[in-house]
This record gives sequence, structure tokens and C-alpha cells, in this order.
Amino acid sequence: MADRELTPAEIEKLLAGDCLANLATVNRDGSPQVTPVWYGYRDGKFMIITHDNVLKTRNIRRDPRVSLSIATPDAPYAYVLAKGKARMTTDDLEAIVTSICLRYWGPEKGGDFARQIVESGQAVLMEITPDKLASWTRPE
Amino acid sequence: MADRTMTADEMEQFLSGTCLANLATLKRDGSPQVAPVWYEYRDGKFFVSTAGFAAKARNVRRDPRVSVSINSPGEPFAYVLVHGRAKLTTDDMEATVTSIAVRYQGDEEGRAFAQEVLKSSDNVLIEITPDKLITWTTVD
Repeated sequence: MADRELTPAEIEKLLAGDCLANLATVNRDGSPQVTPVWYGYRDGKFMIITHDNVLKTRNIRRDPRVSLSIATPDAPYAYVLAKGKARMTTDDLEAIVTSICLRYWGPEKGGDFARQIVESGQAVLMEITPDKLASWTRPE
Repeated sequence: MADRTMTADEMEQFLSGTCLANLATLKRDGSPQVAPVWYEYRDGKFFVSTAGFAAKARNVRRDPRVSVSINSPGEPFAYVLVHGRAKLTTDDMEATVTSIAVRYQGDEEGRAFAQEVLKSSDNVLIEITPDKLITWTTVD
């Protein structure tokens, strides 16, 4: 079958799944930096759990422009690409961390991990507001 | 469980699997652009097949700095992150396009897909020479 964009319902479904995202930011020297991350998607925004003293956080504090790729790992391939701006926040930290960890790791392991992250006192959230969403699939 | 960097053998083995890569390039305005791609790792370089008119090819032609993330889709979590420089080439195009497609899709489907791709006179290879490789794996 031919390549096409995803429908809005297919985008919601892909983003509600447990694929990893890859987040691209810009380094101090202007070069790109991409790294796999867990994410949450809520009210049209992407949320990523991170720390203050890691490269992606330092990068977006200097230059908020980011790009995100969320792709199914196997055929039938599908992906959502988002371009947008990121900012750091701690609003709703516990609820968002918990929801992301449970989605990826289930109630037991995910719940433990979420508590660890919250209790560390080090976690911050990167909130990404997309300017643009693109999608693609090649149905089998 | 513990996290550690991969041995050289583990990295070779991981990169010869069928995880997707995510390739980050720079747009004209300096913002990052990331997209999932198939790749091949050979002789210490990464090869990605794409259309010459594709954004990633145009981006690389203007600014060769790229970042690549190759990660396992789930547990056990493993990844290779690459910072490097890319150039466009058509050397060994048929062999490389075929070998990539066959690795991801199997012999029959892969060869048919490669033939389709090679019909286009615009197809190019992005050849990435890493300056830096970072690896990570989770072991029991």
C-alpha cells in the first residue's frame, strides 16, 4: 500500500503507545544532539522527564528549538515528527512523572521508579509545544 | 541490573541489528530536525539512503554536522549515540541500498524495495563519519 499521513485518531493512538521518542536539541556550537527519551503527550504538548544538569536541558535553556521523532520500531512503520519550542517546568511534576513511568513500565516497576524520581528532588520536566506535527505511515 | 557502556563486540552486534536510527540534522535557521531512518554501519561509518530532495539531504549539504541515535525499542534498553559529519555520495549506491533494505525487510521484499528506490535518479547516500560514539547497555 502507498505511503500516507496518519489520521488524527492514528496520531493519538501512536502517541498514547509506549514507543520511545528521540529528542533533538542544539549544542552550544550549533551542532545537533539527539537522544532517546520517554515522553508523555497531553493536551497537545509533549512532556519529558529530565534533570537540570544534563546536556539536553542546558541546550534548551540556551536555545529552546527542538525536534522530536516518535516511530514504531517495526513494520508496518509509522511515525510522528514534532518541531517546536521547549521550556522547563515543575508544574504537576509528580502526576506527570508517575503517568509516564506507569505507561512505560507498568504499575509495579513504573510506580517504584516514579517515586524514586520524585523523591530525588532533582527531576524537572521539559514541556514541548509543537509548532508543527508531521506524520507518515506505510500500511502493509 | 546495571548500566554500562558496550564493549566493541557488543556495539558491532547491536549496530548490525534492525533497530531504527534517528538522524538529526540542522535546518537553514539552525534549528534541529530529526527523523527515523534505516541505516548501515560499515567500516566505522554510517550510511543512510534518501532522496536528494529530502530535507535531511538538503540540510547535510548546507551543514554537515549531524547526530544519530540508535536505540533498542524496549527492554533491555541499549543505545548508540553518534556525533559526526555527513557527506552525500553515490558510491556503491546499489549495493548499499540493497544491503540496507534486505537487512530490514528480508531478502525478497528488501530486493524489491531496493529496486524501486534505485529507479529514482535522485537517490543519494548520506555517509556519516563519527567524531564521537557513546554507548549504553543494560545488563542483568
